[in-house]
Amino acid sequence: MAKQYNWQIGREMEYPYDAPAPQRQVAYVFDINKCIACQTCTVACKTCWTSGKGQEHLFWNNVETKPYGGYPVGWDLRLLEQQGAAQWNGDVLASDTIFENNTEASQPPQGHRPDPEDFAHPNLGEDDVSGMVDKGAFFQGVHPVWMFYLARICNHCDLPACVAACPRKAVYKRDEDGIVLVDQNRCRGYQECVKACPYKKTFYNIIGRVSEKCIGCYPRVEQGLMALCVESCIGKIRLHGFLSTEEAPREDNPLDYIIKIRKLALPLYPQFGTGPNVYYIPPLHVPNAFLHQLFGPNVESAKELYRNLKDDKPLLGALLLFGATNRIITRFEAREDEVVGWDATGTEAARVPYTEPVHLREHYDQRHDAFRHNTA
Amino acid sequence: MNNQNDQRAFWFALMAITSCMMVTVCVMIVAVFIAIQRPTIVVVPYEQAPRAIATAPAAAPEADESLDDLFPTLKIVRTATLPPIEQPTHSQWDARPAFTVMTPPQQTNWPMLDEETVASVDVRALTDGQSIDWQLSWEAQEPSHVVDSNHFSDAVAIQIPLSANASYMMGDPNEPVFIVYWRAQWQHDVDHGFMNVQDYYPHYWTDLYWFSEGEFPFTVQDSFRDPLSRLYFTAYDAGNPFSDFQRTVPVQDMIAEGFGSLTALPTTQSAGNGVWRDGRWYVVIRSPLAADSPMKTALENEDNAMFSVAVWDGAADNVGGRKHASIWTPMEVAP
Repeated sequence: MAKQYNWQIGREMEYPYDAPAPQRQVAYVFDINKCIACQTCTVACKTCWTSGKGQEHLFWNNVETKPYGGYPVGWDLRLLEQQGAAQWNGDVLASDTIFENNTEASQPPQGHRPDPEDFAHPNLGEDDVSGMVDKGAFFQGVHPVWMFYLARICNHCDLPACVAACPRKAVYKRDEDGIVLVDQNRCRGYQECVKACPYKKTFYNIIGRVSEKCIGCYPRVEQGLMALCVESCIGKIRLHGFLSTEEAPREDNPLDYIIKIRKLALPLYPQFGTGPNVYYIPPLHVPNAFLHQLFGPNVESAKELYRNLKDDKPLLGALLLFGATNRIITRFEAREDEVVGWDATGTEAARVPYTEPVHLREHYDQRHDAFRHNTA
Repeated sequence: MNNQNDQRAFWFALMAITSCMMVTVCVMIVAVFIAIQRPTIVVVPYEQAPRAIATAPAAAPEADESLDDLFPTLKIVRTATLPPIEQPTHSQWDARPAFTVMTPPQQTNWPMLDEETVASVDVRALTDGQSIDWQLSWEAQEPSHVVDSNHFSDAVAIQIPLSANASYMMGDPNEPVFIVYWRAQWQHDVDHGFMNVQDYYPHYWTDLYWFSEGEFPFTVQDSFRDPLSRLYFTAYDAGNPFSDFQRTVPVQDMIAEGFGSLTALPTTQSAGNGVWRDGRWYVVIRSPLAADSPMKTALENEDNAMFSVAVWDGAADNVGGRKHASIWTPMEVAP
């Protein structure tokens, strides 16, 4: 086992390989507060990548309801049962990662392998709230119960458990962008990656007879385009780009800025130790006790940032880039009344005003001699 | 007086306990050595073990005999006609005594197998000069051939060294081994056709696969002829031999140079057939003895005339390195 520094848990940890970080790391920010679980992302991904025979049960992208939902069933609860609750000493993880806590001596990443039926209920627990609602209860300004939607894709982790677990080195992490892929020629379907991935985003295909996973829309990324799940998001909850790895985080890189500099978006289950790269803006209405287990120790400070966004122009500007373009923004600038984003070629990709202009239209349209309806 | 007696009794008891402990430790070491035949044996160069030891001078005949018992040689028996491969339990096999190979769980490298469920494999070997037929049989309460998430296939493999110093654990870099692998899932493919989704889930339904032909249930053998329809078969498209929708043999020829290096040869020369009957698998693997075949090379070179066996219990989640595996066992064509 080599020692790797994991910035998300604030310390070094054991990992089978000592490969350096990629030249840049693909990363995503999902704003949970805005997700309505319309599943447009799920359908966009499914239609494009997993419509084949043998992929019926595969959802590289899924949106589940927390606290009770999960695809595959209990994907996180089963691992939490094995691992126990995360212990933090400030920003430093005091408990073991999945690479360090090995009650099962025969394989380093702690994990579990779902059964086929666990993939058969992608909407189990959908829209279920955290507790019972009393008879006669009514809305009094604060909901007595809570739930939220958690959109999930492969995290293209810094220290992927799937890479660590594959005895054939058939799973690899690309140096150019950190996307994690399964070599479809080399894989022999051992399902070690399925067992090891704490997020259960590797799958066994019964027709191809090998494992498959989210490919990070790499053919699009290579053309400077965002992933389909990001582009198709009608709620504009997602941003897709790159984290700097070979230089200090840049203030003008929206991903660096939101994630590393301002720490508004947090990794999912950082205590597992894989360094996941989908970062979530925590839902404001959910109790911190629950969110701590999901997103680590900085939940309250992230919530505070989000509550004060209207007075935080640079951060608000970065968030305005969400859903503003399908091209990956590598540089942005928050100006007085608008934010501008540029792609890797230096071409302007998005220009968004802080306040959308308001147009009032008369009830009667003189030019077309027609009355406008539904304008009041 | 009593004091002296007490002291004597004390020392006597102490010596007795110490002696017992030493004997117990020795017995345990020997028992463990014999029972599991672990990789400690591997460090002995092949020139010295086991064949060389078996033919060593008569200076220590007792040691020779015990080691010879530990490392018996499989006799590959000449026969004019090999039993038909379609009948893995043909009476011709019964005429030969079983050569039992111990198959302890693989616990040398990750991923390891925790529990042993197949203690041994019975091996019989016949040759007609053109091929060697290996009959491998082992206990399996139920056959396991359906592979799905968290479900695995029974399998067996025979391995021979292509280099005198190759480790029995998949060889070493530049010390390759040759492996013939049989898989119950592939046997089912050969016997009944490639398992489609509808064979796994009889009540499933779909109305469309892009660019496929025909109608439900859209078998992969018949409905996906248009190359566009195969866009989603990424492993098939990448040439992965696991995505063989028209499988004709249940075995695969491979080479390896260490853990994780297992590589299928472009073509499989071996043939095979397996049948499960009354709680046992009976698998016959036919290895051709063509001039340049790995098997012939091994038999002609005394240093390489060895084999090992690996067996996977699918019901116990055996897969990949989670297997039962024997050490090298010498073999020779019976005179």
